[in-house]
Amino acid sequence: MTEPALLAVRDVVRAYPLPRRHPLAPAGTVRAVAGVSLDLARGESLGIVGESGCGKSTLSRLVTALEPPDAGRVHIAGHDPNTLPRMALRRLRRRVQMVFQDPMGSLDPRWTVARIVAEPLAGLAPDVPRADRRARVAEALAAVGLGAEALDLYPHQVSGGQRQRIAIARALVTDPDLVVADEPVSALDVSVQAQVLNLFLDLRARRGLALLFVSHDLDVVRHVTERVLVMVHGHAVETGPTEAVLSRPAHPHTAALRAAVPRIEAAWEGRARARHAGAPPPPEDVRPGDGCVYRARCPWAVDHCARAVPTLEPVGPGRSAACFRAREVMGG
Amino acid sequence: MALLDIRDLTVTRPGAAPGAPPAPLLDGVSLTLDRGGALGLVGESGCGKSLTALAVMALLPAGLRAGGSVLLDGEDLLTASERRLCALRGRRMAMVFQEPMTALNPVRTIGDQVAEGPRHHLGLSRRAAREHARAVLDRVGLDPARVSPDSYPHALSGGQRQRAVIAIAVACGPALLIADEPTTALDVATQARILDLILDLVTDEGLALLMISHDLGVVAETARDMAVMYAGRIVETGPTARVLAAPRHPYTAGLMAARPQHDRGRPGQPLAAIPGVVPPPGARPPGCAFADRCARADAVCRTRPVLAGEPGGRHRAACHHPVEPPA
Repeated sequence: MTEPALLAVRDVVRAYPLPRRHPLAPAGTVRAVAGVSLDLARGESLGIVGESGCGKSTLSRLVTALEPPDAGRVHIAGHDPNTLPRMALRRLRRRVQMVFQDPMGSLDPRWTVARIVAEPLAGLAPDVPRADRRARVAEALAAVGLGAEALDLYPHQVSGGQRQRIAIARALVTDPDLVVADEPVSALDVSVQAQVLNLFLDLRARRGLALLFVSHDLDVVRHVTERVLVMVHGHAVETGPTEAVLSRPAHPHTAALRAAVPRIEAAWEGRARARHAGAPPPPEDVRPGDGCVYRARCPWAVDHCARAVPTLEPVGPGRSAACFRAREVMGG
Repeated sequence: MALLDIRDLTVTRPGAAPGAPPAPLLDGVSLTLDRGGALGLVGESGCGKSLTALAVMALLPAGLRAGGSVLLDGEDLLTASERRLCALRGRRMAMVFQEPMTALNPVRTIGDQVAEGPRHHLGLSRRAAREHARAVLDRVGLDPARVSPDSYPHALSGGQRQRAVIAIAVACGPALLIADEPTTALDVATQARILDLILDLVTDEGLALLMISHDLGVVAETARDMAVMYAGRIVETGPTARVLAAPRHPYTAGLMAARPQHDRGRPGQPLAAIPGVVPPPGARPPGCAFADRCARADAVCRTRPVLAGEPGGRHRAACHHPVEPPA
């Protein structure tokens, strides 16, 4: 029998209630994730990109079983974390760890680095004897380039880049198969960002770690991931090999995101960037069954886009896009 | 005469313990910005770029001491009275902050907040200020028919909030607009729209722009001239196209090489990270502050380099061993 995929997500939906406009109004909901599927094999890396509010962080919370989906399935190494008994779920959680955006917010300021990094061991790996924990912690810190002298420091005593290394060490201490990183470098300065990105590349190469990398920065995603998934309003609109998707987008939204990135070449070429299409509509205005979710802002939209919902269709080797005019978009 | 002329600005923080030496936060910063010009100020966290902006607005945190001079239209802001500064802030110079949610008052409508400056500075009546605010909000892309001026900040998206902050800044037609990381809290698509708006305002209203950012791409798209700061000093300055096409200071070159975009052709390869961290104020090495992280540093770098370049040229770097320009 073949080994089940490390991560298999099928048609997951997660809706949140909207505030009522007045006390007697019917409670509305917004679908933060509206039917997304993805697969990740051992050692693979997948980037998830999109604007603020597109559902990329919610998706990362679903795949790490921090929240259950309202519909659809999440399977981690063949198990559904949302139906597992508690102890089995803990064993599964050892294999999937998370790194958050802001290391200042995700590290307890009153705990030492040793205690912070050891916490997942205490909660998820009761079989690791207490006496071995400090050695495991030192090992995880060494893997992120920090020496044993960091063990007894507090988060405020180290730099921003080192804090994010500590957050990564905490994710590595249970020896996971998958790390889900939600905007892990967007709070860091450029020179430090490069150090942390190099660390991710190195960990993947040395440990065969699978990586789910959520970011709004296309250049960063391009550098650290092999495949990418582009989201709009909770929907996956394009997916495929990162380099191919970002160099020749098949969905107008991918093209718009790429065009929005400020380029240093503008200093001598002049500012050739096309004026960006309108802002996303408020979530309560985006209803299912309304045609393509992107059509209101899409320069390629035609009448058909209001009548039918495009689904992900193959557009190239390993690539698919949810756009009726994907071929034309790819052609420029 | 330049609109803004910062000469040898120093800002020091008193020593933490009694008897401890004061720590210099800004160390001899000189910048000029002409009417209608656009100057980008780049550098990493803690390099002093925001502090420079706060010094210009005369909004330095209590306890910091400023020296040198900051001339706006020839008038020194460092020695001006608080009463005079109140007349200038919002009227002649205005600032857009990074985090729109904390820059806006959560319990007042955006229309009210935009109208406050015109009431105070332009002597408009309540009704006239309200009309003026509607026009300014419309100008920054918050069409009153779609986004009511009676909305509170929490009801707006991040991009709309930043538009409201920009409306407050430009409501009285200032000559100088300081934008301190105005798009850092926004996603890339919203960032593009806000940069479009700022550039339109600069072009249409003839504003001078001081654009502060850690993002070289943002500065490349918005500023004709730029200055790079490191550890409280200007280390390189010149026309943006010249500086970015052929950086002379190893720190500027390092920042450019560390960007993932730089390695577009080689995804998955290690990036050229700059080793080490920025030295904190009070622990900066004598001489060049970048020397400890610099591959080109030698004994000479223990003396402080001055900004220098080709005679008559505007591209200058503070380095004893500048990167050679490509042939």
